[in-house]
Amino acid sequence: MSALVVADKVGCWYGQVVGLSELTLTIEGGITGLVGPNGAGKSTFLKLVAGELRPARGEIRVLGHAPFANREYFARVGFCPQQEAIWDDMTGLEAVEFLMRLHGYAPAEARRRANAALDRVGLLDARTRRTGGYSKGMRQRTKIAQAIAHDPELVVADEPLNGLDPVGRAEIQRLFAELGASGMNVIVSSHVLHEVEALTPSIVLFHRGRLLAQGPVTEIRRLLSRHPRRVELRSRDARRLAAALIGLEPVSSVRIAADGRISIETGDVERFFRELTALAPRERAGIRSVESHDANLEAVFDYLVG
Amino acid sequence: MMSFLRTTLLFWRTYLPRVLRARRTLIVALGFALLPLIAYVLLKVVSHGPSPIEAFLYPSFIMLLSVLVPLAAVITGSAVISEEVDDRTITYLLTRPISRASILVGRWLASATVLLMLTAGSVGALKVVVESQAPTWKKAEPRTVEWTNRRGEKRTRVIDRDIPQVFLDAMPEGKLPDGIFETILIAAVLGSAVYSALFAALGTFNRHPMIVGLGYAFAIEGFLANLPGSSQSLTVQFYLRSLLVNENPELWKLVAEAQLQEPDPTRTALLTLAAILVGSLALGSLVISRRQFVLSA
Repeated sequence: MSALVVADKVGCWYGQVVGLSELTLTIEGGITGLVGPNGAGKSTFLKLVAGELRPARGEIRVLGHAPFANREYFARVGFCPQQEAIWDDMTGLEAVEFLMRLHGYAPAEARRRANAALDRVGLLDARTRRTGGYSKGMRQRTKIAQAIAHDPELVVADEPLNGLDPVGRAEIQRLFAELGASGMNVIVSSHVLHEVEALTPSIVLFHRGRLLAQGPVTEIRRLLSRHPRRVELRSRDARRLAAALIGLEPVSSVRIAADGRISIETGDVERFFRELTALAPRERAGIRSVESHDANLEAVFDYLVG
Repeated sequence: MMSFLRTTLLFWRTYLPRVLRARRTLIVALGFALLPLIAYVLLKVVSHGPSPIEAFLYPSFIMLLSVLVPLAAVITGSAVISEEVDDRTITYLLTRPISRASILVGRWLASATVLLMLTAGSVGALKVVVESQAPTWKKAEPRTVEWTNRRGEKRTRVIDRDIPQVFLDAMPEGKLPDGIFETILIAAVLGSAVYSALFAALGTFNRHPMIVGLGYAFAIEGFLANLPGSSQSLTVQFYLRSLLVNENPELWKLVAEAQLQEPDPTRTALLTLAAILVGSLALGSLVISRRQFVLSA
């Protein structure tokens, strides 16, 4: 099978700001997740894949096409952009139907496809309401509907789970899984690793406009868990808990602050949490809260970049 | 993939009702409503005011062609592409298997349709107002006003207005002279189409087409069009005024004399206006076909 996306030394700038720098990357078919903190270059990459932007340097080919302003390519791809915007004075049905008309479908077929897509994203009942009155989640669903209604070979979705409640997230994750299972290629981005992890084992990590890592999610997770992490705990009996924590192998240091907070550092956060779960009922230390302050992706990525 | 014409028509059909509902259309309609209202006030309220034909000619020339048409065209034309960019909805259009030029042309056609309807409606209403007031209009008799100044001296002033005979004879039966309404209608409609195409094209490569358009229409054109000499021929206004003066020289020259250099022949003026319109849309189409629009999330 030929590669879905081939990027060769792709560079993209917004004035003085680097969007992507010397990105060389190959993405195969199926579902692929792009992960990285805000500003990592995920959206820029997806805009290049969707044909909204063209690279300032290098070359990108998707489904064998140079995507920018390529009408033949646009017939084969569906793009769900990051921005919430959709025409506020149109109903969800009107918006999706209009976009299907732009794909060349006759009015009846465009309406049928729009209805089917809106049904698929769980928006059938609200389809005749103006999108100006939609919630953030409903707008997100409308955007997904317009991206899948013409049965494209590739769906490019930029942060499609943003704004959805947990039930909505699960539904859309299930939808993307179904699309993937039906043979559609999906490239989806998120700044939350576990969101993408639920969709696909194939991950691409971006950081500061560069490709950081690419591969199975298990391998990426292993990399991430090695990041030394600071965890803060509050408990009824701080001294007793601190003494117990010192004995855990993944814990490298333990400190008790004046207000009773216990601050630990660990080099293997997954193992620490596993052992803490076993330790807590045994020690009866009355743990009230556990916070991992530098668990955000930015910190982890900074560590990985070195 | 849809053909250019089919896509253009689809854009026109989809956006026409949206343009009609838009707030800017209401603002433009209110602006155009001022034209017949001003003519009514001039004829009915102002003592020693203009004759009916003057109440038609001067608002048409000064207000409609020089102010309302360019202003309405800036408001509607500049929104053609910049509205999609500002609303960040242009992404959905640019990633479809269509000619990008059809976005500009189709959306411009929808805006221009509404603008032309409003322009024609305004000129039509002006005609109705002037012709309805003309039969009862009489030139006011001279009136002498007396007053005493601070030093206790008596002063008098005769209030009268000298109306050229050609104006007094222009509407003997209360009807506008032949061709005068049609000429201003054609000039206003053409002006609306040309200006809106110009500002729509401007929106393809400028992030703030309304500001730039206002600057062009009222600072650059406003200056050049009223500057004696050949620089007038660099403006759209000059060709619109040429259409008027060529068709009814005895009336329009009295109105436009101060402003106008020797007008271009009607054919040249029409061809030049058509060239500006087509050239603007062609340039805009070229830009939108090649340009990447960088939107923030």
